[in-house]
Amino acid sequence: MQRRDFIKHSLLTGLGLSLAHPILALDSFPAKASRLCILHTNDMHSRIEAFPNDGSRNAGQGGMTKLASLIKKIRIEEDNILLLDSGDFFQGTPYFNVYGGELELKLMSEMGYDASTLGNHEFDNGLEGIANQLEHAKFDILSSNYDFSETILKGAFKPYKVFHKSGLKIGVFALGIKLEGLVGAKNYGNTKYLDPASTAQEMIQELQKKKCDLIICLSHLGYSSDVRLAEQISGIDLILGGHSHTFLDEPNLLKNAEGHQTIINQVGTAALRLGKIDFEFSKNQQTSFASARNLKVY
Amino acid sequence: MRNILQKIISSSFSLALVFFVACSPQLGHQFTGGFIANDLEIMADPALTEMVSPYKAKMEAEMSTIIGQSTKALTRNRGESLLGNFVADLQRAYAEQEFGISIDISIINNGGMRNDLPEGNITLGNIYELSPFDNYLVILELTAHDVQKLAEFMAARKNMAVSGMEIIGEGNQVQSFKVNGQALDSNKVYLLAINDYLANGGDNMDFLTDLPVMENTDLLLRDMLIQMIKAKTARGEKLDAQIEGRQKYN
Repeated sequence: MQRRDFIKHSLLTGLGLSLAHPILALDSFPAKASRLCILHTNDMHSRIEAFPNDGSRNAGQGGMTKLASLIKKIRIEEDNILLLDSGDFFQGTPYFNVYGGELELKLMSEMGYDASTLGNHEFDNGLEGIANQLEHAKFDILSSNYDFSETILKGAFKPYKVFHKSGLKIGVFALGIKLEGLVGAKNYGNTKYLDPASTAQEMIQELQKKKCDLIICLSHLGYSSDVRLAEQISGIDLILGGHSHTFLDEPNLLKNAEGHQTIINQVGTAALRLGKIDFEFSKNQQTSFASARNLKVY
Repeated sequence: MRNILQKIISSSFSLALVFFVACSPQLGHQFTGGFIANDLEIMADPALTEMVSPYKAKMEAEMSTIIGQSTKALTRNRGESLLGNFVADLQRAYAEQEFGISIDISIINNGGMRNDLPEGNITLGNIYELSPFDNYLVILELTAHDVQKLAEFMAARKNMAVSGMEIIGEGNQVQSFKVNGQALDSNKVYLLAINDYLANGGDNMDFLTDLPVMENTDLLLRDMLIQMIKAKTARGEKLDAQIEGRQKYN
């Protein structure tokens, strides 16, 4: 696979290294290399505004209104941005209890999110609670492994989406966590849960058929499950995780037994961090992983 | 290949440094666009703040709605506390009313109560601060042996509030205890009102995880508090609690 070749030639330009190696094999980047900037969040949990300034641990930090400022700044600098979220944007502040998620989805739409997925807390007001709020999301909510065909959410979510950015094709699919035991049974009704690993296999095949240059999985399975997925399954380039509220200092670059490399990242909760992962693609669309930073939102 | 380069460098650098990298010579030829100064302090975006403002005003108005009156400040403490007794009693009464059964014991973890209730007006916001977590009411079935373990756990950790038990402890040991004034009955099934966090082994209560579940509800403890306080107010009652010697540790 071209893509796997590439990761062998991967070139990282993190700050420490770039200072240590001021000329980083520039010739590996043809002049027309295109650049893709993935920005991502997870588990924002209705954190509309920063935590109250009351001396508590995250006082004055995080929240969507600050996150939006950071995203706007990056949009000035970067042309090719995909802004993604891995679920649990609902529940956590009274904004959700009072408005049912309307404001969360409106703000995410205003920030220009390209896609998100369903976390377990999206089910907190039942399937109706999701259906009633969907009109406020001006972006795709993807779900590959919940079968809603026998519920009121039938047809509401695409299993994947292919984004076109400057001639690049980026395939995004999304895996949710098993709801049984985690969410009250009447809140998910007849939703059928499909095995994440075999669903991932199908999605990868489909997205490879569509000749995607990059395959991204939005996962709400939790960090340890993401690691297991990357060990089991080859073909995902990037897993943007959630659910476990894991604050990774840096993404995990995992090489599985078949030699496939998957980047796994997760940025805590409450919009306290924004993940930024930059890819470089050469003319023949071989990617080159450039850098990753988990930016603090304060 | 330079393996070291495959290590991803990330995080903990401020935005200013990110843009420094973006504009540093080694990547310059790949970039268009200029340097963006960053003041390190990220301010809230004005457009979003404006979108939020009507929601915020309405929500704050709703959160300041007075739903009851308290005769005194109900405060938290290690072991037995005013707030703990109040909440544990309320949870027990609510479970009995909801399921039409007699609950023997009701417990809540002190750590699950995140703020005290003040004397005087009790607002909806006070209850959200007291109970921000989405914990659900669960009813478990305990044998006398399980109740014994529960008493030992509480005496050792002093991290629970209880209704329906009187425990006397010395150090970290139970000296004696009763359930609703009675000694343990080895033939009885005791019903315990608790939240899903503890029932699933939270706060090291793993001895609860295999117990038979009588009711696994989607009734939020916060909604329970709000409903029960409103009902009290409707009856002309105020919130109150006493330290009664439910947990005496020497």
